[in-house]
Amino acid sequence: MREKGVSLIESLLVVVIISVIVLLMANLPNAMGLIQKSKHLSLAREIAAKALEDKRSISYANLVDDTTPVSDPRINLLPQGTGLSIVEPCNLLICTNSENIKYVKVTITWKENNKPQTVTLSTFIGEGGLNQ
Amino acid sequence: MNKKGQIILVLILVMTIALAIGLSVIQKSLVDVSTSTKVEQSSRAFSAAEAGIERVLQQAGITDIAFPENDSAAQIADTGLIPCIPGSIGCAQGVGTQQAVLEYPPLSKEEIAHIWLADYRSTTGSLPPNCGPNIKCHYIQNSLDVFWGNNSTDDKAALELTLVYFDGSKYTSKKWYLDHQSANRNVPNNFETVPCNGTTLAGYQCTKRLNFSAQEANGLILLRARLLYNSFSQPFAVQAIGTCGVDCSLPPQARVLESVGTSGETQRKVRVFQLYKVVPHWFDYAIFSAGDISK
Repeated sequence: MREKGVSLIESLLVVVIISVIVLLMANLPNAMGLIQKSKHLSLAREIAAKALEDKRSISYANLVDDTTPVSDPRINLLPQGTGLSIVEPCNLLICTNSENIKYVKVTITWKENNKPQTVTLSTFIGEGGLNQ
Repeated sequence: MNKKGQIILVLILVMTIALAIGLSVIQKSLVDVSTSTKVEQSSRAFSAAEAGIERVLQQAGITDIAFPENDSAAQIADTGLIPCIPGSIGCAQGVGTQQAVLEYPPLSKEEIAHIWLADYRSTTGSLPPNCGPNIKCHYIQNSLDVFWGNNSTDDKAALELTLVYFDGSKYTSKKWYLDHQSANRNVPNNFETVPCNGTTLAGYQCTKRLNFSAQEANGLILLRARLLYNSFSQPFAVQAIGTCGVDCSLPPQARVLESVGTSGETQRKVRVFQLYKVVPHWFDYAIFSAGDISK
């Protein structure tokens, strides 16, 4: 005579199913966080690249040595996002003949789950060089 | 009705759907992170490559730079000259062949192309341009082929050519005015007409072999070409005569610089054609004015 109730196989299946679902649910916030992080990373890179191109579009004579905040409005889309654009003379260890070259560095920083994140792009801009 | 086992099927269905959704979200997050990281590396590599070009434009011979603060670097190479001398290192043309045609980007009406006949890089300051004792570094043949006009249009351009040479005591210029044979201008211009039934160079309408006197050929400096009457931009090209290597070749007009930026596993390449300096477009009229120049 067959007895009513739950078989061992059925019990195991339920345990496995619940485990898988719990595992997925536990990882979903993490995955969503990664998606958000990659969005922010892409945006920060876009802002840094544009800031660098803006510097390159300035004629060398008007490219003064200074440190200025990046003024791109998209920076507000980054959590606690800030940016700095640094223009300084090329290091004499690199430009040994004192060539007319500026070192330009753009740094975008923001926070992801209270952890600081940074994107940095560096290049040279020379007198009579690209876009000059 | 026996419903035993149905709950299992429903649970498996739910599990499958949840699994699919969960896996797709996780996969998307991983792909997004990977892509944005690669794109960031790409930007760093590109900025490093640009920096390499800037550096080598200022100082020839630079081969590498590094930006340790963002883990990027660039390798720079001077990859050749345009046009190259047949038989020289890095030139695809072998010894004993005619130098390849030097084609310029299409010229609009009255736009000027500048062709160095003397080597721009000669530094001795001697006249005619020499690159060393008894080593001439200018084109020394007594003729040169020019090509112009787009063979696939009815736009018939005329060509003004100005040759600047050193005649032994002073700089002198000589002009050619060449017109399309079937142009039929409303106002006769007295230009020399040239048959324009296609040329040996594919795609061109007209060609003319310029002949230089011995005196001219001994001090060739530069040639300037200007298209006239054209409604659209038209191509222009020159080709050296002969197969005798340096003496039968136009000197380099530009150099090619290549910078490969690297960041992580990403590489970006920037290639620059650095045209040697040319005299400004008003050169002909300022220097060769018929009368005194009034300021």
